[in-house]
Amino acid sequence: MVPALIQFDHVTYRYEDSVKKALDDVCLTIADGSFVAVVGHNGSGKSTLAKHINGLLLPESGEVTVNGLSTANEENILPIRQTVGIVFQNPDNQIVTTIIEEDVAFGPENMGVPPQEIRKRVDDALDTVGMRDYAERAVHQLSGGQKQRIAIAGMLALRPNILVMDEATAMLDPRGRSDLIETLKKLHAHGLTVIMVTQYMEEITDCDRVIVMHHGKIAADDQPEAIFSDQDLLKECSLDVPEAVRLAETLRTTGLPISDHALKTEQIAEELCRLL
Amino acid sequence: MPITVNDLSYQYTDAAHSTTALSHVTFTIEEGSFFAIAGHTGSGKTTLVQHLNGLIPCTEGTITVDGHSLADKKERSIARALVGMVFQYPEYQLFAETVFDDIAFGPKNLKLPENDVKERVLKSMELVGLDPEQFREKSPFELSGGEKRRAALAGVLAMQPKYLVLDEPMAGLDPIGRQSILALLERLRSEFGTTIIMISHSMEDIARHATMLLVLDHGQIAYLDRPEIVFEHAEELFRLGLSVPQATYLGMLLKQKGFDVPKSANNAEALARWLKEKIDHA
Ligand SMILES: Nc1ncnc2c1ncn2[C@@H]1O[C@H](COP(=O)(O)OP(=O)(O)OP(=O)(O)O)[C@@H](O)[C@H]1O
Ligand SMILES: Nc1ncnc2c1ncn2[C@@H]1O[C@H](COP(=O)(O)OP(=O)(O)O)[C@@H](O)[C@H]1O
Ligand SMILES: [Mg+2]
Ligand SMILES: [Mg+2]
Repeated sequence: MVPALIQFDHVTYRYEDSVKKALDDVCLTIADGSFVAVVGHNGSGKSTLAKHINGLLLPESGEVTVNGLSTANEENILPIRQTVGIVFQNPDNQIVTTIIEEDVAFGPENMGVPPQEIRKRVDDALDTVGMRDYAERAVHQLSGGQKQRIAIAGMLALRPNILVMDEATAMLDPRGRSDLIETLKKLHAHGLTVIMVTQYMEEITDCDRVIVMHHGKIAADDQPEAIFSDQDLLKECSLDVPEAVRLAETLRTTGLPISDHALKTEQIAEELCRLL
Repeated sequence: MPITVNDLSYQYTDAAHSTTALSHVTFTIEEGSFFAIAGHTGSGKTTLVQHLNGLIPCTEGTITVDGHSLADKKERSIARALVGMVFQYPEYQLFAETVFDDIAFGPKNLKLPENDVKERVLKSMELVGLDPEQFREKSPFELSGGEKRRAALAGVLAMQPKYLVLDEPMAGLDPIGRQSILALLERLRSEFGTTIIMISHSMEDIARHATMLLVLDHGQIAYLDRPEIVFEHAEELFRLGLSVPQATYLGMLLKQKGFDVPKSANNAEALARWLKEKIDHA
């Protein structure tokens, strides 16, 4: 059996002054090397879940462990944060210095990475997000999508074992988004565990597993095909399907025999070619 | 009368660098249209729309709104009052103690009588789907992501702009939030004749709603036409960092495999009909 990397054991959380449970008795096991998507409506608890993974938030009841270390124990927080990197939605809150390459170097410097190694990591990370040419620019001079790329580079430079992306692609253009997914897949193939919170269903068709959050609870936990063909679940949790799934549905209604395994337009094209 | 943008260029300059964000951009936004703007990250979309309400002053080129030039000091304030601007992530700019006060901020600045202010606020709340009873006394910070976005939008609508500019208004919203914003934009167009100018990365939304599409590439106009015409250039759009609606993409893939997909099969239904006929005849 693959060892559990992240474990949520009956975790409940309420924000101060709030009666509503942002997380409500959540149990969850994520194995080392998984590629997991987390989806759900606004306010369903996705970010709250993400912030529990590195101890930014602590459970009101229940326990979160990473590599067997409980986030409740203060001594564990530093090693946990060296393992788990989180990129959030709003890049403005994450950018800490004025010059781009300094910003990307900030995390590794704080972790005591040697200077030459930092240089290499910063260059690699900026290359990965396609922002190498901007290394010496000031952060405030960037467009929204460019800032988001820098926030992602900053996290990649930390070389975490677990990368949590909390809607960090919301402002990227289509190519930026698909390039990033390809990058994550490559890093995943080299052992990175990826947890991807997103509203873009196209991004998660290759995931091992999709966790659907609904009012603080896990409403479903299954493979993408199973999630996107479960009409009741989609409706109940007001989930979207990938545009390709909608397209396949239109084709089926017209009487074309497209299977419901087709989550991508490329797959629909292949099936059609066999028919034509 | 339209908004006209004539030979607009813009450079961001500081001591060390100069970035050309826009270069020789000329186009017209017709009254009552749904005008979409797309382009890769950093292509100049935000810079362009910030010119439309005078947030960035024109340094090269001219803009007129209903004939009022943004270059002229007196006319500029008339022009600016016609254009409402909803920023990227507008909810980060909510600031007042209550939702009501936040939305009332603009109309109050217009020195309108108190009753008119109230009427406008309530009307805007109704438009964006925030029940006044439930929300007017709430702190904006207690709202969910989707509700915050709508409150921010209501603040702009309370100014009753004739031209409504939105910078990626759907980013980060769940499907219901996205649908409700799109439905609102359609309603504003049909009920008040509001012209919608929307930056978006969603080619599906653009295909379904926009009447015109402007594609920017490194600060220059790459395409300016009806969306279905622009999407005929699928491969070029991919090269520009964009994409096309999935139905168009499927057509492109089939063409690459040697099938003679007709131009008219440019949406899901039409493509499905063509495919069905072809298979039935095979
Ligand atoms: N305040 C600024 N100072 C200097 N350069 C800037 C400034 N704001 C934007 N730029 C640069 O101008 C260009 C256009 O930026 P703009 O924000 O208009 O892009 P955009 O198309 O809105 O991108 P995105 O989709 O990422 O929001 C980019 O190269 C950007 O780095
Ligand atoms: N800082 C906060 N203070 C109070 N309530 C919050 C805070 N952040 C989130 N919430 C509430 O907790 C619930 C879950 O929110 P969140 O985890 O941000 O959802 P998601 O990321 O899925 O949109 C929502 O009801 C939200 O309003
Ligand atoms: Mg969130
Ligand atoms: Mg922008």
